[in-house]
Amino acid sequence: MSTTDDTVIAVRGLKKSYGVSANRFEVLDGLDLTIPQGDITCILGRSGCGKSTLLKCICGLEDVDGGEIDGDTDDLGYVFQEDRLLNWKTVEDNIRIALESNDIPSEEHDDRIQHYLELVGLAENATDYPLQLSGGMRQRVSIARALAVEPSILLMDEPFSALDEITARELREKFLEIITELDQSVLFVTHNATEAAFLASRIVVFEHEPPAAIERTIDNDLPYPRDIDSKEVQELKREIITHI
Amino acid sequence: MATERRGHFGNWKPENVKPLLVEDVLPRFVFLVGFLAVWQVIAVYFSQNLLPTPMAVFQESISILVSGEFFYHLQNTVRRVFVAFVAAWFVSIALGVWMGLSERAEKFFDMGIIIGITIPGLATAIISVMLFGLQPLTAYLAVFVAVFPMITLNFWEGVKDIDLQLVEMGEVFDFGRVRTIRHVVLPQLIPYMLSAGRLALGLAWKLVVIVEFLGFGNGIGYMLTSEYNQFNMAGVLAWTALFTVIMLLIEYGGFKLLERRYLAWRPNIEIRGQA
Repeated sequence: MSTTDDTVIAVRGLKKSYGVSANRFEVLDGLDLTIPQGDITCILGRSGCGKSTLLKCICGLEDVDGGEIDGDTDDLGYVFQEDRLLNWKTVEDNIRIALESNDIPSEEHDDRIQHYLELVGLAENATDYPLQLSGGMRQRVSIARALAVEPSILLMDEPFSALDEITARELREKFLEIITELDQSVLFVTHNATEAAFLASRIVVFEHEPPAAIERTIDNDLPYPRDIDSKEVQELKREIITHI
Repeated sequence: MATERRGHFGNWKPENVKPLLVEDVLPRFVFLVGFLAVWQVIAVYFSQNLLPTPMAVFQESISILVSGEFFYHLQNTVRRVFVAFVAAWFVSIALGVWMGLSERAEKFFDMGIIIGITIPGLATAIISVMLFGLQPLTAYLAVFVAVFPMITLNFWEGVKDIDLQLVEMGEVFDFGRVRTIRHVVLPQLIPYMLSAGRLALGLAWKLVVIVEFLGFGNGIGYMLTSEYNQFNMAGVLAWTALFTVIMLLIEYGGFKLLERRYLAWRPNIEIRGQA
């Protein structure tokens, strides 16, 4: 493996297309991207620019047509735009099944479930069923599930975009607090420039027409914790928008 | 977390008895009383004594029960229903799931399913009796052939409704095939299994009665024929009523409890007033 110690995932020359012959549609055509340990990398771009496809290729939901993905791609956590919980299982069993599938020893399950539910503020709701919870709470369970497997990298596909604005705002703050505390590496896909400016340590802006190419990479050195309403975050957001 | 259930059936705590009576029992009781009242009025004033009163049917039912005849015939009918029902249920799950997952299987079988649904139950019963005569297999086969296309259709639809996003989630978290089928796919089919069970049982018993009517020497259908031949309307109604009671017991004692057990997570059965 050619990844160095401080690189979690390295993507080189990644190619992906859909369709056949004349209808062939290149989504990724030779993309390079490196995610350093502990970084919160935001992929920012308009709808249809190939950013979700990149995540799907990394986690193996899509086969790639060329290039390589180095790193521990079996060891990932994933938060979808929807919560994707199993409604017939309690909150704790939703997390447990992910732990079982990742071969975490069963004596660790209860502690981990407890720990990560506490982190997302849902320790009280361990025995509830998802449909008893609000949308924001369900998404928090889904975040706890992804963190509980203690992944080398957490992949997130617009996880806050289906929530109402107030809930999304609270959840982003909570999420950032947790992630910086855990020093978790994150690859976060979004089309929301404010979100990127607030969360990311590095923002990768995709060109708006596929195949996906990196328009610009912006390092975001604003110190954590951040205030989403601060002048610095808002200024960065304005700068980002000029590149989308 | 005080979880208050909307349905109180099967939840026998003292504080639940009053809501149980008001919410669950009362509406059904009112329906039953209304039904009997309408029946009584028609029997007394509009039927020129052709339709016996509920009381007459009740007395006839008691005498059938006391004579011990009922359980003998019930047992034969239930055996025929049960064997055909279980066979049809399992075959349909397999076929329905296969059709839901494979486009080729769907195209191969779908015409057969539509034909199966279209053939009248009476025709299957008659053909079966003519082909195989009056042996146990005849009843099983007639019922099986009539029931299984209908519930295969049900499972086929169920598989198509499976949430693929959840399957994808399972893939990302490395659930593997067995865990995905057991914890992601099957739970989504349970509502379909229950409705297929209800549908199949209802159809199966109607079919068995027709088959028995065509010449078997025992069973509820045979007794209906026998009462019919004597033009004993109270007898016909009594046998029908007794069997209906058995079916209601299966519905409320069996399917409703299964539903409560397996679909407790659904919000229409659970919870109100939860934060």
